[in-house]
Amino acid sequence: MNGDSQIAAIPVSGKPVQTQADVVLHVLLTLASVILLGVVFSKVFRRLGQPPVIGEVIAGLALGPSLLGAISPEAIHLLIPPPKLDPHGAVATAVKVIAQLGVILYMFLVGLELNAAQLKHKAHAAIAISHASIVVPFAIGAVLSLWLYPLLSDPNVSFTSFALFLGVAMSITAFPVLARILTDRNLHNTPVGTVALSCAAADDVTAWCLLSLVVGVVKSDVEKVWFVLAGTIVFILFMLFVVKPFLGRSIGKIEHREQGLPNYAVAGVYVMILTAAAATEWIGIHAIFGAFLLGVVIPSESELAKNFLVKLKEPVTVLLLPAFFAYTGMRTEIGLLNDWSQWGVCLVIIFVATLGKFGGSLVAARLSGESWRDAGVLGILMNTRGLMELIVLNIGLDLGVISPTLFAMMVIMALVTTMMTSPALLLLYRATKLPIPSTS
Amino acid sequence: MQSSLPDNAPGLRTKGVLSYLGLLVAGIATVLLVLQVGGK
Repeated sequence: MNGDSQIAAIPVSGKPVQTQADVVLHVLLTLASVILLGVVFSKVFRRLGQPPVIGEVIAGLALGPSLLGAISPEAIHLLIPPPKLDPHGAVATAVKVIAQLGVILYMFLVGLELNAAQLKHKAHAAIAISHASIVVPFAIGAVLSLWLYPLLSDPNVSFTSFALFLGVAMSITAFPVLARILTDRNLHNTPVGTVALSCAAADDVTAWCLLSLVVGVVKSDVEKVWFVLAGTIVFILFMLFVVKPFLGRSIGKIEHREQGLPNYAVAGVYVMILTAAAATEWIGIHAIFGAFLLGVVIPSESELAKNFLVKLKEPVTVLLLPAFFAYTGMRTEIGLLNDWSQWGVCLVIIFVATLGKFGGSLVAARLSGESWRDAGVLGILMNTRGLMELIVLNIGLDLGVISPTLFAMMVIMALVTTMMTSPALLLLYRATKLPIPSTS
Repeated sequence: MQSSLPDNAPGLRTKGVLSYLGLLVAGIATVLLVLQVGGK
């Protein structure tokens, strides 16, 4: 772009700094690079039997300071300009806004895909397994924080915030990634696959509710916590008892009356997504919670839901979500783990996370009457953390409750626990001499 | 693959509910204990 035609932004100091056009240029280059590399890595990891999201996350990490920045600082400055050219971090801020919009829309789609009918199937067992698979890793994560807090936490962060956040971060299951793995392995329609999906869906709802409470505690003064708690409850009740019936009636009328969805209905849904997200952001829980809950209350069998799933999924997952991977990659500095003791801590985190999630789900599934084999399958599947974990970790880093070093360790944990799912499933199938499920 | 998960077996359901509640209480108690110990 020609610099002469650009309008320089003049900061308070009077020195001309980053121009608007430069920000746009860097953001476009960053997005194009992460999308391209994400596609390449997804293909490679898919061949290795891994879900595509692993390739996309690693593409984001590769373009950040962990790899590209370490190999060639000049190359990374093509994407993210150095502080002297962008003192206010305008490029990172722009990528963050796109990333947030991507995650908000993505969580809306996750909510939309959440099939309530699926939850009702074996609901008692699924909810019991799901809650146990949250409580156990949550408790183990809290115990781990007794060790990690003095090692890795900023003294300004209270132990309560740190322990609660670590508990939630250990308890996450990635519902969309799990669904993808089950579909890839042709397990989604098997009884154990259905239970796993129901558990993961219940996990999502519970974990986001827990996260909203923890965010309230972290943002703390006590009055604010009560405001957040009361606001969250009022918001959930409003969505369930006002918005849900209203949407049910309105969608029914629109779908019976007209051919195709009118523009005002589509625009109305977008307005509702943004308003719900803004409302939960204002309450003090994250914007994604509002979008997710709106997705949940829209009837998943309606034409409107199907229409949004078809039309919105591609631009969100292909265009906007990679901005989130790039943003996460920008913030992850694996180089911070610069000695063996820190890699040792990282290994302990991975071990504890797996023990909590796999062990908790396995025990709960056994107590609910599952066979050892099925309980093992459920345990392995519930240990998949994927993208959801990254969303939670970014919230933790934004709030300052986890340090950049712990953030890097937890990102590695999220990647490893997600990557171990498919091989662990195959191992279990081989060990129990069952026919290995094929990839579709 | 057949899941062995029973839907409505009453005995197992009672046992399941009790185990579920036990796990829940134990987990919450652990977290509260940790917060108590670590907060000092």
